[in-house]
Amino acid sequence: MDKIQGKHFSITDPQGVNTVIYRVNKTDKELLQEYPKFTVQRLEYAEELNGSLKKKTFFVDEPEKEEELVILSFGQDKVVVNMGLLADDKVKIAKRPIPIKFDTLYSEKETEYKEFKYTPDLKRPISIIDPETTEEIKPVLYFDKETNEVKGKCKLKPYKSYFAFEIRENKEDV
Amino acid sequence: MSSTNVHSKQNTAGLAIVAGSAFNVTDKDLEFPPKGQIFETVSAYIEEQGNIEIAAGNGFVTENGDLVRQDGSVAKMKKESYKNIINAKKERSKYSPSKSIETEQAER
Repeated sequence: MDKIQGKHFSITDPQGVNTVIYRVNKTDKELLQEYPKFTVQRLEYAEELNGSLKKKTFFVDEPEKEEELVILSFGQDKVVVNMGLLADDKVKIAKRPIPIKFDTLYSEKETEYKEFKYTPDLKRPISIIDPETTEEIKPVLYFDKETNEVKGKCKLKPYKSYFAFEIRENKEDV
Repeated sequence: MSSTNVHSKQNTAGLAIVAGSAFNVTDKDLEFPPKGQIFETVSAYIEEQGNIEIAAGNGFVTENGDLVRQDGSVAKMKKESYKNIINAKKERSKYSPSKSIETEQAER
C-alpha cells in the first residue's frame, strides 16, 4: 500500500471554534514569470473528540526544512489569523494572533445563493472561505464565446460575510 | 475599511505577507476590499511577537486515510484526504519542480 510521509501536529479547538491551516509554498525563481510567487495548500487533518472539545491533528506531507503556516480559527463573529513555522520537530506559533471581525455572518434575510462574476487572477491567487462551514469557495471557470475570454463565477450568498486572504510578497525594505 | 500594518524590525523584503479581510458580497461583481489587515509571516512576526511551541511528530498517511504516528497510534482522516494530499503534491511540483526531484531522489 502506498503511503505519504510527513509530519503531524495537534491543536485543540475550543467549543464554537473551527481551525483550518494552510501551508505557504514558494515558487521557484525560474517560474516566476508564469506563476505567482506564493501559493497556499490547505492541510488535511484527523479529528478526534476530547470530551466536548475537538482535537485536530494536521498533516504536512514531505515538509521542507522550514514550512510557513497560516492558521485561521473561525469563531462566532470573527476569524483569528495567526502564523506558524514548522521546523524540525516543532511548530512555533505567534503569541499575538490578529482577529478580524465579521459584519454579518448570519443574515436575518433569507437569501439564496447567487452567482457572482469573479474571474480569478492566476498570478494573484485569493482563497475565499465561508466562515460558517470553513469550506473554500472555488470559482468555476468558463469560456465566454462572445468575448473569447476565460471568465469565472462564484456561488455566494448576498449580505453574508466571507473571509478572503492571499499571500503577497513584501516589496518594502525596512 | 481600516487596515493595520505591522512592521518588522528585520529586513523582510521578499518574505511572504498574509493579507486577509472579511467582505460582504453586494449585488455587483465580486470585488475584494482594496485594503485588508496585513501582517508578516515566518520568523519576522513569530520571533518578534513571541511564540509558543508545540511538538511535531513523524508519521504517514495511507490510501485509506489513516494517519499513522511514529508510536503506531492511528487517527482517521476523511476518505478523500489521501487523494487531496497527492493532488496538492502534484500542484506543488508545478511551482517547485526542483524540490520534487530532490524528494524523489531521496525516496529512492
